[in-house]
Amino acid sequence: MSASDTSQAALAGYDRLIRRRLLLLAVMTCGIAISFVVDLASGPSRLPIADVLAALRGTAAADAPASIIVWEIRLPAAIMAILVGAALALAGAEMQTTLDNALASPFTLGMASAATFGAALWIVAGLSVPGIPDDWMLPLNAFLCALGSVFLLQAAARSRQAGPETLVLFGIALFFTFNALVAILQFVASDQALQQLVFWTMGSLSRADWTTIRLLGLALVVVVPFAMMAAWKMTALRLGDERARSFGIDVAKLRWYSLVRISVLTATSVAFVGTIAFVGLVGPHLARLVIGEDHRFFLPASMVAGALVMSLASVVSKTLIPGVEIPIGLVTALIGVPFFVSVVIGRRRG
Amino acid sequence: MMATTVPPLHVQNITAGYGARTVLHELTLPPITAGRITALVGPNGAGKSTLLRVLAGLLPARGSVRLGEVELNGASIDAHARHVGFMPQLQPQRAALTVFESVLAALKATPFSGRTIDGGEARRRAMDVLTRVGIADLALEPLGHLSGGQRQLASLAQAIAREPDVLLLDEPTSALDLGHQATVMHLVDELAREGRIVVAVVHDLALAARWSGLVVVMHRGRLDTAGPPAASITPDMLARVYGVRARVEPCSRGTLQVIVDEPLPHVS
Repeated sequence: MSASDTSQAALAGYDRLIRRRLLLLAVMTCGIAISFVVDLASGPSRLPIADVLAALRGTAAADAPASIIVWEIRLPAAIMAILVGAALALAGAEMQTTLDNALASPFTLGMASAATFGAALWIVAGLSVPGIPDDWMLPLNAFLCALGSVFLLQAAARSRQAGPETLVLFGIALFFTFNALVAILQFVASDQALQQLVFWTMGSLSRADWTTIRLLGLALVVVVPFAMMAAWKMTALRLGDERARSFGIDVAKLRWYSLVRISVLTATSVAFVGTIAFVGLVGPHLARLVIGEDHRFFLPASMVAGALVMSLASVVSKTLIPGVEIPIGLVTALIGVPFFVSVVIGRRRG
Repeated sequence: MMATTVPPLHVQNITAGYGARTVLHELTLPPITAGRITALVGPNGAGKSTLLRVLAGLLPARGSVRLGEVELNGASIDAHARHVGFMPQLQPQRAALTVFESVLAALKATPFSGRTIDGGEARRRAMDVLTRVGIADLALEPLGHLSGGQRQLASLAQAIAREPDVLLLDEPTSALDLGHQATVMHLVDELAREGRIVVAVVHDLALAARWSGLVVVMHRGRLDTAGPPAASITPDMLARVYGVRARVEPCSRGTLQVIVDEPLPHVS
């Protein structure tokens, strides 16, 4: 075969690879649609799929029980599952590239602990920003603390021209610090406040409503275009810091903006649904397995995989024990732990 | 192919290091010209890789690195990338990218020759680079599946994708078998002869003697000797810099061979 034949064959092969990736994305998106409908059908009173579809299309009577259950109760939670899954998985994908560590997740650097601390400040001590309605205090506090932890992290990153190792080290320090602060608040909390705090940290979709859905949706709409614009640079970062710099990439700036995107998505998600573990780890891993790390495809695939996992977890949380809705954070942790272990073992073998 | 020959690279009074540790002391080199490989040699810790990283703009330094009229030391990351390509010693093993994608990323990461190139042109260029390096058949292989020699070639493809005037290679042949050493050095030699400046850290003095036009011998962060292989690779230099008693003898085809007889007793 001549040189030009070889390169023509390779280019054709690359086109096939791209088509295969788009197909996989489409298949996973269909998976989300199916899981979404099943999610709407499952719960304390199981609805036939036909009724769910009728309610969604608006062909069922507006005051029919199925319509009310679907629109008032289940739809916000089902949509929230997809949005949170997409947001946390995107944050996780960026975090893994930024830190060059496949075991990183949005919670690796202490953001969830900081958010929990913010929530605890309001639940236990009633501390927060004046002039905000009480309903909003808890998510706002969680959001502000998560964001604050990221700014601390970035200050450290900036001051020392830090690479991934310094960031991880400082993140671990933040994790333990905020956990200790939360423990202090738990120690002094009343029984009732303690119960509320523990429930909050488990992570649940039941707090979803149309306002929180709009806000998280807005965060995604704002962040995703910036993430996609940086896709080639993030792909190049996979080839190493020095290599990326030799391509003309300001690596410190790239990390900084990536951490800003991660913090907005993570803080917003945690503020509305509490701590949901491992979606940010599992989503990017599935995406890497089936699509690779060309970030033009890796980032969307992570979002789609994360959304699918969360939607399925939501179904499981309602069907595992009939009549009981297990907090979804516990379900994702139960799926996540075996996955985490298998990744570590797989890496040892590799 | 290069249209014009690149002006010489002037390295003057370079002082650099890591934190409080100074590795390079007021280092000045003779002008480095395009056309032949310049080999940086010297014992471990002599400052070869540090110098290469200064030239690549990856390590801040005092002094001057001038390409013709352009001062590169202290120039922006972007300005550096316009002139200089860098091939690090270590390649990441875990990136889930194909060879083709890694070269595409080099072309698409930042504007190339001042403009953003479209997907079609990037693909064509990336495939040309792979053909040039002789690994077009590996285009769709994941980087993690490559052998050591293939990985070096893929890495070289990433380094030359942006058509740099100055190509800096950190031990391009380390850990390669004889066949791959020859393949890589032959390719690098061609790239130099097309009119580029090529500076390579080389450990193997026989390789340096065979392939380079200028051998820069570094010792403890300073320049020891610089000149054509026959002038710089001498028994005196080997005793002084490497601490060995050695012979330097031309082979039947005239290329210098280094034969090490024994270590010298430590003087310092």
